[in-house]
Amino acid sequence: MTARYAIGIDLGTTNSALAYCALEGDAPRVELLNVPQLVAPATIEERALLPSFLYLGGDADAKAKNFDLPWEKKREFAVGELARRQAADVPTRTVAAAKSWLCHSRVDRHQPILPWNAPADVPKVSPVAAATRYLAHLAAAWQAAFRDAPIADQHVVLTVPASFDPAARELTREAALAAGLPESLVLLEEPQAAVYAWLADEGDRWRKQMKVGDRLLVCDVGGGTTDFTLVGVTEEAGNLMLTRLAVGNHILVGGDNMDLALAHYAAGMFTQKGVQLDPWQSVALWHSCRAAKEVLLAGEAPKNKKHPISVLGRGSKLIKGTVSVEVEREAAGSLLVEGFLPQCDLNDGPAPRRASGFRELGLPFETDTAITRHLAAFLRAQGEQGQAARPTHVLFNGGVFKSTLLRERLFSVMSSWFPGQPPQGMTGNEDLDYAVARGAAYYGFAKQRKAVRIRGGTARSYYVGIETAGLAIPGAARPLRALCVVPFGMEEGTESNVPGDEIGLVVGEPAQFRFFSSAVRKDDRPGTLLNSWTDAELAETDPLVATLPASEEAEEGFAPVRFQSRITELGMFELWCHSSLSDHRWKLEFSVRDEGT
Amino acid sequence: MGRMGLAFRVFFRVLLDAAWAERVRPLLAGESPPPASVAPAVAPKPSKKAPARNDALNLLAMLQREARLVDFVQEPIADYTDAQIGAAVRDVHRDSAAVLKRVFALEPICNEAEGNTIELTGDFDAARYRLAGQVPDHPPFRGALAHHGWQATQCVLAEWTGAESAALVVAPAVVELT
Repeated sequence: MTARYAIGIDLGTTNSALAYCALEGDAPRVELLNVPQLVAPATIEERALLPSFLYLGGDADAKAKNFDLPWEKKREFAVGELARRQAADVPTRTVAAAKSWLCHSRVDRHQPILPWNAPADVPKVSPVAAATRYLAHLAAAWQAAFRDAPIADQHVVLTVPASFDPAARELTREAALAAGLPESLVLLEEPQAAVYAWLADEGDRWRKQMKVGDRLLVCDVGGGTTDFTLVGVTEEAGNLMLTRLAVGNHILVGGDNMDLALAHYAAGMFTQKGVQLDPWQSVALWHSCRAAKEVLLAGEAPKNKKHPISVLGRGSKLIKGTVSVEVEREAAGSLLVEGFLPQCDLNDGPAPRRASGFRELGLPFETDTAITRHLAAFLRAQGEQGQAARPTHVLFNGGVFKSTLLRERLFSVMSSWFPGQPPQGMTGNEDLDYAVARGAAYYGFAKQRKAVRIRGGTARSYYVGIETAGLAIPGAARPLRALCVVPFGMEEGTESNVPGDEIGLVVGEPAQFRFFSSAVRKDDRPGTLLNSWTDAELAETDPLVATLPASEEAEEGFAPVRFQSRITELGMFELWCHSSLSDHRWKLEFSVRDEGT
Repeated sequence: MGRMGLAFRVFFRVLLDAAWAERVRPLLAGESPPPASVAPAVAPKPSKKAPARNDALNLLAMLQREARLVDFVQEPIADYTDAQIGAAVRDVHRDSAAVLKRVFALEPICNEAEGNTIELTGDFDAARYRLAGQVPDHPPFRGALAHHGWQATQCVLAEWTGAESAALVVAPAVVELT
């Protein structure tokens, strides 16, 4: 069956969405799917967003048919709005932020570890399984609405953070296939999806807004993560083209941190009033602060100098149990603006992560929440000849930037970095909550129609760690060198035979390679061998493993191989070992298991 | 309703609803009116099954779940200060408004600012505009807009699939385990 729709799915840290676009016709019309979901036991409503939460109920829920959906009965779990609400009442049975765990290489993402820190007698799921359930829900919602267009036959585009490493992309793809999405699934980076959403709104007008040499900074602040991407405008055969120049590192700071910061501030005021909040009230306060944040950051001149934040009474005596404080608008607003977007110098950088054992247990949240300092570091890393990269345009993405106050602050900080040449804001994309899903659907359309596409290839160069030969020194690890296998900007649908000496691979047992990526070493070619590097240059992610059968022709237990790297048409990274003695080859797989590191 | 009120209603309905006027005509002549037409133009679609519970209860449960409206209205407020009530009412107000917006997407019927003079011609819809004050015999009617009216642009209620035993539950009792 031929595809009739392009479908874009935004699998977000806190909210997911699905948009679609019919492939027929010349003017793409991108629509959002209203997703039926449980909002309370046995109560189904359609919402444009599916909160990325999973509530793990039990037998009793299944028997009471509490979590029945039109497409499945007697479920023991629920995803969406009901699960999000349960996070306050039953935190130990609610999975949140599963996506952040997907790219956290220090845990085994196939093991049932979520909800994190839940007691032993509570059911648990793996980060991959949680993502599968969100995607399966969206797929079923699509199927319920479009019975005659099976999702497996459509062009599906799924978005991932630009900073997701190859292992996290592999896991995302695995979850998507398990959820019934087609093999032809394409992964698209979220900031690029935001640009596509803008292109969908602008049509061909964008060619008038930008010129050759312009550089567009996509500043994407989601619920839990911040992502920077730089897109350049080039010219080819007289046509303007968009090329993705660089993406930043994975930064675990987002809008949720702002809510939490405000909640801490308000909790301090409650303590001063002699009110001690219990755990339920604390969660309720966090939710109140989400709403308060939007008011405080709206940027309108307030009539009132104070803004009340209340926690409603939990019992039926609502008014009696309500406690409230009045925060100074200015103080609370600047707490958020100065805490997350402080005025800083272009030479500033984020404070280094504290490496204490305790922090490694949970998610590696940023020590420095200052998004502007992370941005300064990103622009410096992407600069040339000691000059930081200067964006000419800025495109905002993420619900946080509905706030004019935050947008204005970012502009003022960047104007101070580039005096006389401030970047220009892009209009459009007014619906920042849905831009990524809409952009992904538009990309699916553009890909079929050969319409304007952002080029760029890989945003990083990749390396495998090779132990140097030589005499073993007791107690010392063999020196490690890094062999470049994928250069920066390697295009989709291409492969590269990595030149250099043969590598001896042990046969009959798993051979493991350490794996590194770099966002800044743009000139390394396949075969480049690095003897030393700094932590800022190369970041280590999940190792790669391959097991060569023992029967293979081998010299003294070693089989000589060379590497071949591929970036598939779907944007997936693959690394193969070719035997030098035969035509055999083996694919290296990411080892996302916990190696006890 | 007083006879004056009844007279006005009959007057306007006869004026605006031709079919209804034809039914009134025999009454004036001293005959009994013909029975109202009972066969609807289109037969309603047979529903798959009777709804498990009333939609009004669905809406009430939604307002309680998302805005705590039932708790708020059920609580006697005589003993609380305005400040205490105010602290709670802002949240209830905000969340109730969000529910109404999502379910009904309410809009004013008349987009003119209240207080402005508007004119109603002869074919105005009496269900959408109510006349008050000194009402003359014949349109057009000119007057100040006292209330812009409200209309739902949609009605999207939750679908309820629970058991019959739970059909009357507005909010379940909560038991906290420690």
